[in-house]
Amino acid sequence: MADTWKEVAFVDDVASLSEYTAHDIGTEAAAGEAVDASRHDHVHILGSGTVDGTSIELNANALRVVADGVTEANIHDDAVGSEHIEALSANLDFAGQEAQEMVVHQATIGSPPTGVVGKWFQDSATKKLYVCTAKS
Amino acid sequence: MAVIWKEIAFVQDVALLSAQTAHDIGTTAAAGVATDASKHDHVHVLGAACVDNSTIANTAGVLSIKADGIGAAQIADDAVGSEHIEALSAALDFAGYQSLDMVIHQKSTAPTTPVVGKLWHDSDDQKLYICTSSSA
Repeated sequence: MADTWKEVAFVDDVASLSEYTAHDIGTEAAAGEAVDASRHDHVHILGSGTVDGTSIELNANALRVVADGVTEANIHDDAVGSEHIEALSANLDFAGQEAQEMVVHQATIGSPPTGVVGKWFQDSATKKLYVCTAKS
Repeated sequence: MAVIWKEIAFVQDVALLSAQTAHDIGTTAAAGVATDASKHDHVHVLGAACVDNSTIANTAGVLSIKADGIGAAQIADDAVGSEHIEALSAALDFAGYQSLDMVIHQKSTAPTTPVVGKLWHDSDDQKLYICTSSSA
């Protein structure tokens, strides 16, 4: 059997276990300069620099989409369908654009929609078009 | 030559390398209490608590915007433009609000898909037409 010589570590050659809180997750990886080692059950949190804060933010160290964080640039063309649009709560500004392939509200003169001056509907029975000119 | 005494490290004095899986990224950073050290190439995954689950989903450590996670609060005012709205697949409820500055669909020929109530403005004779019967 061959002779075996093992090098013995001096205390200042080896790492001791750290009591320091682990650094936040960052945007640039680094080896670090500490002379102690992380315990295997150390926990990191996401650093503030890991999210842009304009669309995603850290709230109590948890990620969430920022209020008003979804802007025009974030929405894919044709992503918004009828199912995403609730009943209007303000006038819709067409800005001179056409309402293409639009169908007038179908109702009957016997049971018309709630009267608002300017509102129109087509009588589904007589096919006549009505517009509200006065609201009681 | 100066006298030097080096302390020899005993096993219990040094950090051994852990075979344990690293803890998930959390919401509170910690030094840990383990008595072994992480290998330098250890990998963390994003913990369930890293996202608030209202807007962002964390599926096995992979982040995505949650289904229906973008609510009215996350959409910036005026973020939704015409290019984001696909052709309607249901009636649009104006809820009594005005269609401001709207232009009736301009065409030189009648729409090829007649629907009772559909409006168009003939760009040749400048007359307004409404469909009162769609049967052939």
